[in-house]
Amino acid sequence: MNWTQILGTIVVGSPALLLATYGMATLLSVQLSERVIARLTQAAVWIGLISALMILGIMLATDTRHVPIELGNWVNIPEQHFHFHLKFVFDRLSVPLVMLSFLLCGIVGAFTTHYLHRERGFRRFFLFYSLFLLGMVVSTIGGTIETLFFGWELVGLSSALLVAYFHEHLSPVRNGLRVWSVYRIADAAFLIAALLLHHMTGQGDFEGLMGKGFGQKASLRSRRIRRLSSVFCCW
Amino acid sequence: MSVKSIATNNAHHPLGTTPELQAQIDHASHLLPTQGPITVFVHHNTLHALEETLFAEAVEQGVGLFECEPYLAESTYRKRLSEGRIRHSDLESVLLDEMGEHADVLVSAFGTRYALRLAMLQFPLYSPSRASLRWTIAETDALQRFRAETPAAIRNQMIADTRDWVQGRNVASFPSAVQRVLGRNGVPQLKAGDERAWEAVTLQLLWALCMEGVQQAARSGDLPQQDRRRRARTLVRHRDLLLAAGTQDTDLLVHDLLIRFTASFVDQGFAGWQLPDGEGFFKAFLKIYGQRYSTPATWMKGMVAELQRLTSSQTTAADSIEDSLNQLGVSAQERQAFIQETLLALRGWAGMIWQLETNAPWTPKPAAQGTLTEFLAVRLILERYAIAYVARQDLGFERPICELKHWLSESNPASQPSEEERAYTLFQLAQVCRWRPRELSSVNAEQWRSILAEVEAFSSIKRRRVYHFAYERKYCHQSLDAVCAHTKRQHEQTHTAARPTLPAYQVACCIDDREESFRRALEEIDPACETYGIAGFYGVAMYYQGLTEAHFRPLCPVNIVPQHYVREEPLYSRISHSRRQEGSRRTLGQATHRVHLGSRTFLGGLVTGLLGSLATFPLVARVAFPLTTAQIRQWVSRIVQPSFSELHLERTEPQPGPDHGHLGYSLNEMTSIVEGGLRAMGIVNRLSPFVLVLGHGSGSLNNPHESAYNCGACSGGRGGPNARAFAQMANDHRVRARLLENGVQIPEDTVFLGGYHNTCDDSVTYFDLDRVPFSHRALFERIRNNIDEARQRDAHERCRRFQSADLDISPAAALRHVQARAEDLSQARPEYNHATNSLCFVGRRAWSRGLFLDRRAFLTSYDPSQDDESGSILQKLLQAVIPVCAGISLEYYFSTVDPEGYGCGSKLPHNITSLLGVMSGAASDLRPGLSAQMVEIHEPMRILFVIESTPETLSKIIDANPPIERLVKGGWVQVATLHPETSTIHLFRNGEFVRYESESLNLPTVESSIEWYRGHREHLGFATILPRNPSS
Repeated sequence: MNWTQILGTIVVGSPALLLATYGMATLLSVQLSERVIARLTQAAVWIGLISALMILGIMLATDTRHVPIELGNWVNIPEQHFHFHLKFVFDRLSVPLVMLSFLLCGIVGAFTTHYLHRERGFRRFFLFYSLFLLGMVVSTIGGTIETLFFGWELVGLSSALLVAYFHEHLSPVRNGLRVWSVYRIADAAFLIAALLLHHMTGQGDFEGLMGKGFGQKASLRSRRIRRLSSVFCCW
Repeated sequence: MSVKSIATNNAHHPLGTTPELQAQIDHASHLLPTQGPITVFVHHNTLHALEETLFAEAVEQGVGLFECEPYLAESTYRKRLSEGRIRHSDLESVLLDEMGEHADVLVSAFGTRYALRLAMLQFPLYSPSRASLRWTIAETDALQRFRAETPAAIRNQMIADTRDWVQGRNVASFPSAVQRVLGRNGVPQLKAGDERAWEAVTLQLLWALCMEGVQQAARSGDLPQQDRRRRARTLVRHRDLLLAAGTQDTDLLVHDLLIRFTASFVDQGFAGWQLPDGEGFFKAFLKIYGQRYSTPATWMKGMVAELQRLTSSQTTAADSIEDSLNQLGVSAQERQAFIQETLLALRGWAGMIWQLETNAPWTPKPAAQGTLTEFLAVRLILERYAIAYVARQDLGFERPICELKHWLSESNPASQPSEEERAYTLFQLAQVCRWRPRELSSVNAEQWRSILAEVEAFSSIKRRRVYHFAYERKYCHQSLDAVCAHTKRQHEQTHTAARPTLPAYQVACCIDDREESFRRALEEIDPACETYGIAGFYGVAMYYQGLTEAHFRPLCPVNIVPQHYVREEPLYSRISHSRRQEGSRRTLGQATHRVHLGSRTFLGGLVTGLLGSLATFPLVARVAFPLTTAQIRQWVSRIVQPSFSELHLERTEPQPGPDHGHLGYSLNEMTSIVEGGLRAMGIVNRLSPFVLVLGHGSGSLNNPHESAYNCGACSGGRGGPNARAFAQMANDHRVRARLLENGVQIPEDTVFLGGYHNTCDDSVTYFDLDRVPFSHRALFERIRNNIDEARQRDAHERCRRFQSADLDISPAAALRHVQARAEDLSQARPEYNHATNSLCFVGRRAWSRGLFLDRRAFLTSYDPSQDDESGSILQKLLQAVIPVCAGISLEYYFSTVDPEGYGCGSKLPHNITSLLGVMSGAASDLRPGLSAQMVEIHEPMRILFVIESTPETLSKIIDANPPIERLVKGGWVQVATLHPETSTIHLFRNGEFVRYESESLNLPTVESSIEWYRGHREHLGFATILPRNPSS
């Protein structure tokens, strides 16, 4: 494992760890204080952001344009020719985008630690927030359509929950449900795309669709469209 | 209020309203919230409409009218009881007071009424729902173990008694209910030492006997009726009847459209599009929603045709109301109630329309007369369609809707508590009141009925009332004791010390509770200074237009309509420079407005989408470094903001008005303002060489309620200009000459200086500093240094309440902390405003100086030795002080006891709409009142006035002034008089002043305020601040 591999794993790992911490705390009824939550959030965002910056630095220094991070097959059904392959790709487009995600989420986090001070839903918000952050990171650097779909689902779920944050009132809950329904349409589109991709190339890897190695231009463009569309949908 | 009554009296009903309908609408309109546009937020009694009745009755009426809580929750009071914030002696005393001679009434075999009520207060009574009660009985150890609150002695005694009663007797000799329990537990074989088993037997016997008792009582006649709905009333609106029948809420449908339409109709310049001008509410609605395809929702099917019919037949709003009421089948007797509840259903908006119609002529777009009637007409049309739709959809009701009410009311009886629920209350009481099974088994049906009636008569609201009065009593007595002890101490000191000489300088502030800590800090820093408190408009009632403002706004209390106009103008020598700046300000402002509107268009939206990410940079800067960003912004804005100005204060024409020449005051008017101010403060003939006059206000970046944080005596404006004007008037030698004729001498070497204290970032700005003569500049430097030190200490004391500031913060860091709060976009609590206010002192500062009041007291200066026999100065003072302070105290009270109902809920989802008020989320009723964040540290209590006067003088003043009389005699405020030399206090109770005997004269003494409050976040008690080496 070289440096970029380690850093790449940290980029995904730090929001995942944040989600795990908040999730486990909620599950075990541990009441984390506002200050601890603020510090943890800050730390997770900074670690992710700095790791991404370092990857960018290494890529620029060594003139690497493509850093895949493979986390192996999580599901493998050879008879059906299906495997769920968790793979992330750092290239010169995904790195700035993941940095932007960290930056904006970090600002939202910093804002919210003040804004939601003494709110009953403080912990709940940060649980959803960490879900959103992980979703954003996974979907910006996802290397296969399954990974992208996984991130997209997290973003969708957390968006709906965040819209319905003020759940004592009726309309936020209704609007949250509305957002959730709209996401289901997008899901259908995603699934069709995944099916087509598998049908055409036998796997979900974008490289399989666009070719590997020096077919960079085409793959870049398609990835740009894909990422831009996902970013726009999220914001 | 005066404007309002004129408008109502002159109403000549241009809409063809019948007098009867008009009277019904007027009656209902008095119950609507009276809060005006949010830019002139003025604190007032939330239940102003019910002020004629007693406080305790009014809050209970509020439950029925507005579905709002009258007091805090019982659990909150009980928590305060356990913390010692309420003492048991307070509870007992209030309860005895309330019951009078009925305290000793015996409730059959169950002891006295007093003992029963006290037990009901001291121990929580759970009233679970029917289903959860069954679960509690079946699944919890409710029938196995005594309640946790039961004292061990009572528990053991009851178990022992039961054992004695049951053991060794023939089971068959017991009543059947007891037999069943004994049989189930195998009692004859039970060992005497098996405590746990006997405990279970005791409890099961209690439960069985209580059940049996309630059943007996029910068999012997009807049990007392108990309406368990929160809002005890008959349902008159179709919507409520439908909801009770389990349908969807018709108001959701109606409000969705009505809010959108009303918001754009009353918009004061925020909307991108304007409604057709010049047409009333009703016509505009007909026009817009009478177009084809304008009502896409299914529930509005057929409405277009109806609206077109109304347009072509030229139906008036009043006729339409009659028509709708008939179609809805509202009978003549129900009409008043129906109209009232219909208007109250969206009371924020309806109230705002009423305010714009009657009470806000100065707004850019006031509403025409009769708009509320038109609003009602539109509302009823929408309701008709929503009701018909919902009744058809959810209940399959196809007949005309005039029959709906009758059809619904047949199928909706009010639910009564079940026998189990009633028995469970008794069962809980039995465990703490020592009702032993032995005794319960011999209680007859009549006695069961009486205990049931007794228990249910002391309802939750009544219990909370007793709690609340005890809660207030504790604080009231604590405060009066502190005043008593402190004045005694002061008195002893002044006897030993030399006669006080003239102070080195004097500082006048607003009476505001937030200035209390500031004044105390200043007095601690420089014992040679003296501070005064006076209503922050300094008698200068004016319409004021600042240099960079577009309109005049009133700067005086709401009950005064100003006659004079004052404008801030650039210095004469810099007028051309200032014109250029004005031009660029206008261009910038218009450009910003265009960008705002443009970004909401289709094309603009695209551009915003592409370039919007550039906004990340300022956003990041603002969130991460609020203070620095604010400093940069101020620095940049200096390019277009003029830095030198003067007040156009002197009038040359005879008549006052907003035009050139008519601006300002005549010399005689100035003289009377200065004289009035000096006399009110009691500062005449005691003037030092330097008098600093401070107005106050509050500035914060992200706060729709900013105006509520400003000076209440300036209609929610900033009081700086008033202080500046007062100082300028008092410095005028011609005014001084005229004052001398009236017997008021201002020494030649006395200089007045106006200033402005920002209570949010604790900054102090001085006006017209260039005019301070050289002879006084050294003194001014000393004052400025002291004020700077006081600012830090004030900020430091405030910071103890902010959890985001560490308790060990230094005063300098505290000042930076509050400065950053004011500029922080994410800060929902820039300051705590009047939260925790609870006292108002009227009298000489000498007796309250050095008493730590924890920023909870309004301090009004008044010197009885300079007043006449009948107290005419005091009367004038109280005419303003009592209603203003009562308004603040009561608004805080109601917003705290029910933050969602009376208050405006959490501040976080608020959106400003129409430049008039806030809504929760994208669409809701307008939310008047205070936000949950503003009141979170408040202790809801009626304010206590301590006035340096005699009971006789004050009684006369109370009787002579109906507004004061209503508040005092109705129990909306508490009043006490003080004689500072003898420390005698008389407290107003039940219509008369009664001598107050202090409970304790223990008042801690500390060397400085910081020593007393350091390390504490909670409310603090009183203390005397006695510096070790007083330098004077």
